[in-house]
Amino acid sequence: METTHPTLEELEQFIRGSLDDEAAAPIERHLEKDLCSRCLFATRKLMAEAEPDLRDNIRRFTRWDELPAAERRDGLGAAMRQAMRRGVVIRAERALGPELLAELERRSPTARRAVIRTAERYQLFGFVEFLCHASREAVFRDVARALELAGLAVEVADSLDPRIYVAKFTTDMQALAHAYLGNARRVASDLFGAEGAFQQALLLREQGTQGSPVYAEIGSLLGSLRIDQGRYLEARTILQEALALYRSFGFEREQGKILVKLADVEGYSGSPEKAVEILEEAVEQLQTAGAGRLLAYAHRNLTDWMVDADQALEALARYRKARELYDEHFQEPALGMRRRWLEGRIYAALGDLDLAVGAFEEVRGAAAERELSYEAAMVSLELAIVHLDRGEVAQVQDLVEEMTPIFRSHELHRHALAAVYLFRHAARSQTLTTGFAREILRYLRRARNNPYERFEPSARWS
Amino acid sequence: MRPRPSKRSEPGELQRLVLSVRHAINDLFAGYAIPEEKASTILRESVELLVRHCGQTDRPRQFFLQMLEDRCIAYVEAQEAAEEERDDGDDAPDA
Repeated sequence: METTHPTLEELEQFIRGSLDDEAAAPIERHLEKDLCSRCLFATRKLMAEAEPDLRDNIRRFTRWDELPAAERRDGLGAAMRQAMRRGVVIRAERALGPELLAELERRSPTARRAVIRTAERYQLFGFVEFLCHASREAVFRDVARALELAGLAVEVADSLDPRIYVAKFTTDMQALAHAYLGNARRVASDLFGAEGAFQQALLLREQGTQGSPVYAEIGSLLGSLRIDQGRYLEARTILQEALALYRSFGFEREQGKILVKLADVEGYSGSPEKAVEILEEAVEQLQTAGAGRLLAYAHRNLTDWMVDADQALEALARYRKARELYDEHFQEPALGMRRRWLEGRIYAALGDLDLAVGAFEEVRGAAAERELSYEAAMVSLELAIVHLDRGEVAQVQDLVEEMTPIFRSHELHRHALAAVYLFRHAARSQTLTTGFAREILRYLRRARNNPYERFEPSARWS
Repeated sequence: MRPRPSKRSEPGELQRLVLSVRHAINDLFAGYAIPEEKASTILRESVELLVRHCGQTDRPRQFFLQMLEDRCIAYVEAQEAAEEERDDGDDAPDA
């Protein structure tokens, strides 16, 4: 069927807010659902031209001493319609994201950046939003891709046309894109690079719409960096500020997300009981918000911290309750492996050591197969603790001898490697205790993305 | 579980929302002594923020008023900072 395009005149009436909602609906559909890029770009051109109208309409509304109420109301009505239509354009820009990204990815990485700087087609506010979102989605599956997407977002945000978008919103997008670049660098364990990107994001944030959702989102991302850097006091302050903002906005999903991070702050600072309390609140919040995958994460972390807080029975009950959610959201092999790991931790805490060994061995095999050396090292420590609990010193010896591939891999940063060496040394010299193994395990968990954090054994072991 | 607000508000719905708080808007601008030109900018930014984020909040009215008030406060603070800077400049000894 042939597509019918609106006329230029209709598009102009649409963006100037002079069409009523009924007449505007087919154009909205055409832009947002049919993804007609020809009409979208024509509308964007008109958007810049209609800008003075929007300002006049708003001004009419604010002249309460001079204009009659009806005229002021009309001014606001027209301004609102214009703002809504601009919102449609930005959503359409965002919806065009996959197509634009596919086009860019057909070019070399350097050429992608050059074309963004020169071709208006890519200089879209909604495209920055799309790239930031895509980077966030990719970050734990494919960090290299997340880095590339955030890099492109920075490039696009820097090239936005100030005649089309509100200047402060453009600055917001620049700040957000830098924050996502920092986030991807954090997950890639480049904490210095992440810090640099966040410093840039914070500078830009100060010039943007302060106290807005973007302001809070940058705080949320920065909080994750501070956690990985082990700067828990700062992380707590930053995350609490973001939480207060989200509470005041009434954004339930985001509140839940921040609570999940705050729980990590408490857990890594040595208060797993507090982490459990916070996660219970997060679960409630996320249930209300209907946030499926995030809710599954919150349940998983809650179960995990319950084990650390010596609440093994509660952890088991929680795990059983959340099973369905796990099945629904953790289908990727890596996440399935983590689920089995969690089962092992629960069994170990309950004293069901055979089941724990079975689960941990399975995870160890899967980690080795997927060449996930960091995970392999951690689960080897879990296994060692169980064997030590059963007095199986020989099994611990065998275990450390099987760890050779871990030492040869480049996946462990040097401080993590040093900690695992200490573990091996203690096991070989038969001086390894469960307490020491647990301490190394806690360190590895904390320092996953932080190659600069040293393992400092407590005075008891040194 | 309480019902979630629709992901996207109807255009008329948001328009009614802003109109319903017009007195609060007037009070805010008057309370913070925001000049007319600046008031337009603040209102314009707040309206666009409302349009962009109305799907995320279960309290759009409060969200909108908060966006307005935050921008008013930021304006007043910027004015005060500029004034202080001017005063400091006046007090500085001549070179």
